Amino acid sequence: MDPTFVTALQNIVSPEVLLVIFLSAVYGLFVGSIPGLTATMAVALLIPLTFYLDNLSAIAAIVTLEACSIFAGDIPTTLVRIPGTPSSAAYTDDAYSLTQRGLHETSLGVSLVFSVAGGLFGALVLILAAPQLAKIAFHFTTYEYFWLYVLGLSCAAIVSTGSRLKGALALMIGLMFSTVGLSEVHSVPRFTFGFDELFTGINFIPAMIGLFGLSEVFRNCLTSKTDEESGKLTSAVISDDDKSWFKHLKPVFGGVLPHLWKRKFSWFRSSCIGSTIGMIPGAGADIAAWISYAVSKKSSKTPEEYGKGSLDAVGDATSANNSALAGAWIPALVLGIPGDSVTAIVIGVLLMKNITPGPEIFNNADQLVLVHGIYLTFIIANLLLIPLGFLAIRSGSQLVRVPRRILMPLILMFCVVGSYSINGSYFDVWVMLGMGIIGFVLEVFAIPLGPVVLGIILGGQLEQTFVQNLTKDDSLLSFFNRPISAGLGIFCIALWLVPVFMPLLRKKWQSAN
Amino acid sequence: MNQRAMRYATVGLKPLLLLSLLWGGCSSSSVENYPDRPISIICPWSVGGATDRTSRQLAVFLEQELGVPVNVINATGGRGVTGHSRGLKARPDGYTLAIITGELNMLHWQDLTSLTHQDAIPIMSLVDGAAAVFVKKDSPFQSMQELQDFVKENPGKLTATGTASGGIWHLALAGWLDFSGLNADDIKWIPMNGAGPSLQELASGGVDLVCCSLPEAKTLYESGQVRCLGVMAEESLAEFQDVPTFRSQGMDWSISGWNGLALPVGTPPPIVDKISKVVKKITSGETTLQGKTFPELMQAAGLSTKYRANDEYAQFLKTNDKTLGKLLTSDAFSQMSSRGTGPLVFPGLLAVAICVILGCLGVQKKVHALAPDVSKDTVTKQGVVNTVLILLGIVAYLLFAEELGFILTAGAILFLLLWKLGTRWWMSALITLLFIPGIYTLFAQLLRVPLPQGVLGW
Repeated sequence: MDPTFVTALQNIVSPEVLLVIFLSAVYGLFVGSIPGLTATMAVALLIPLTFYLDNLSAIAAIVTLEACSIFAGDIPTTLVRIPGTPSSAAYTDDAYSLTQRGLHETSLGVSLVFSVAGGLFGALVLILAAPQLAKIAFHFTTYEYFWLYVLGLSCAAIVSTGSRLKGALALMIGLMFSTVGLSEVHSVPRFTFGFDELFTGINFIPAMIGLFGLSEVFRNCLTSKTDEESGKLTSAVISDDDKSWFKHLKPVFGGVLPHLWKRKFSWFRSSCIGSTIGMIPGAGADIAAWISYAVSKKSSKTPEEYGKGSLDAVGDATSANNSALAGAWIPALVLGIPGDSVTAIVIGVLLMKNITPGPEIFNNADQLVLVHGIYLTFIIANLLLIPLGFLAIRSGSQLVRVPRRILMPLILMFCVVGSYSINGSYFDVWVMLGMGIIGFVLEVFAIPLGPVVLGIILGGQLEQTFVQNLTKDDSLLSFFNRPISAGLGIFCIALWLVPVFMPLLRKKWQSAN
Repeated sequence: MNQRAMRYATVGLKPLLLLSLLWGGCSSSSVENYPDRPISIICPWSVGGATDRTSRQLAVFLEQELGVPVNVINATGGRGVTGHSRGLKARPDGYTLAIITGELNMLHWQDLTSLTHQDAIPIMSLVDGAAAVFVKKDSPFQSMQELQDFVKENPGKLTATGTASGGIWHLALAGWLDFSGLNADDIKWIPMNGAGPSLQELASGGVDLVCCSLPEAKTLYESGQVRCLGVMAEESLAEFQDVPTFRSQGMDWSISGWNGLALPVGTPPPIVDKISKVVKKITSGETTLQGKTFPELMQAAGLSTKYRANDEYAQFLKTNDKTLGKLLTSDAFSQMSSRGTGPLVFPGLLAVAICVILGCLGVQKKVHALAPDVSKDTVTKQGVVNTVLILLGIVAYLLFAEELGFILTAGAILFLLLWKLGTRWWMSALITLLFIPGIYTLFAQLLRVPLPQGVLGW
């Protein structure tokens, strides 16, 4: 066996490192399950501590924190319809619908097991394919990025529940919000109405909390929902007098493993999508979840269930977002280019610890130990997620027993503090409030909220690459000049045209018969 | 915890809580016992970059010296307007420190903000990174002279990037072109969001040149993916001895991007003195963290430092402002950022798309379809009252939190909401007493979010 691997293993099983991993797992679950606090923020808050840790512990802490907080984002998504992290936004409606049917523990069980399975798959990809696969992503220029963003956004519109037109409308509204602020490419303030705060644009975290969280509070309050509903929810929860552990395990894990076996191919597909998207710099776990969701819906036998509580949707998207995490480390380690915002911080930490990420990291014996340590931590963190995630689900499940008249003011407090905490700015609370009202109005017209959020997140980058491409070459044909961009572009256009021409073709085919 | 234990804990907690509140009231922040609560550093650029690295490194040392948590807040966007405004327009009580960068001396010349260096009390300049020009490893250009000759023959053929248009690195490159007797836009500038993505674009063949500071390209440079044609510094950098300066290639042109620590104007002099002293101690290498001093750690990260304290720093800011102002207001630069696709093209396209979609929806007569679960539940009169209460609660928080502090405002709002929504008053009080200190501990202490402190300090 590789001696550096053995050294890494010896280092990582030391009590100190294991303690660090355990503590960061708990911290990660905690932060991830609070809406408004993202994995990126959790890692950023950890930075001062990493100075006091040795290299391996510091990196292990970040890896564990990331894996656990991305899973934990599913807990409030499922229980109260507020995505804990942006990566959970794709399947919010599905997970919450399952909760309304009293199936929240099954849904969270699927989230947990598929997250772990996806995370382990991502780790395997990181271990096996890091240098080779990074080379492909390295050839991406603004043209390829442009099409990648278009693809991600189109997927959001296509997968949205109800009418596709409304999905597209929601997307356009989100993109419109993204144009607020000082444009990076033009350096001109747009739609700021004299507010200095709007120069930064609309921060998508408070926007997301408002759209999903506050609008839900409004909806609940306006209809004065009584506690009958929460009573209905708890009926599925195991009764209190049964204290055996197995009875607690059953609603969470019962049927999940057979389900995983049944869906092994779709799990494999989603995980592949996840690690590939993760590897592409700039596209992180959230985009991976959206694309995987779209592919899953396309290839499903029951696409009509998507958005209305499909376990398949939750499983596929959540394995993709977890496998994307390890994928993002590939360009970070091999090229020193971050795959997502967390690895952007990681590069900073590595540099401060005198490690320069780059191809030579794989040649230097000391640093190779660290790389192997990262591999091992991904595996350990995901395995640790099974017991800790289960405990988090159990304690989170108590939430649905709380009457709504108590829960709603408490959620409101979390919405306010959560949106404030991301930047320490009151303006973000105003944004949250405004988005809450907008979200409520959109829901009245049955316009889906997911594409709005994705539009706000990706709009800026889409416009930037669009303008950058046009600055390089005025001709629209230049968007298809490079082989990968041409392929992606044609694929995107086909994706839009198929739903338009499909009914015509079908009609023709029927009349021919 | 079982029910009885929980009840016991709350009963025991109450006097403790009252005590702690009183204590908090007595020791409300004053100049003498500064600092007695967490300090924030506002960094105007995103995580991972050189300015962020500097801020975080400084924060760790400040935390050790001052004995209170020091958080870094990345207030990014708006080409630095946001972060600089937040840092320099903050309440001048010493609990918000600002990291200022070269953009402070540029933005006001470009009419993007009214902030100038006169809104800052300079403490210490930290990083000073000279601009450098990079090409991909297989590029035909071996020296700046070859590049200059090519541009002279083929104006507008090459593309370059490194930051937003009109940003410091764009200015550096355009300034060199102008200095060489060429037009400032003879090399097309592709606006990009910082050095990281720009270098990736260079390595993947998307642009011909990148202009940014040397340490920002350290990884790619040392692995041989990119070649450095020259650095716009007075003399070659200690860390990168083999990189030629522009001057050594016969071009007397130098420019650099810098960052440093500042305080908002109006900060009490004793606090300014205290921070100055501590920062001087840190930057002179008197303090160590795990056996490493601040300058050593900065050098290890590849950042070129230049420490200028108080008056010297103020003098530098003044001359730097003049230099940049002269460049930015010259004819060559005044039209620099007003080319290409206009700022309203993209929103315009979106507006057209929205109209088309609304038109289609109108034809389909689906616009007024209500969401199923909203139409099912009837809106009650009590419901409308409750919703208005919720709205008022948020607005009340926004209006009073800064003055009253988080605990008082959030506590009052939560109690009233719970009570008005139908929970018995003692139950509401109990939940409030448990939840508010809990959420405060969680966010302000564990997660170190700077929650509003208010007049009483809590």
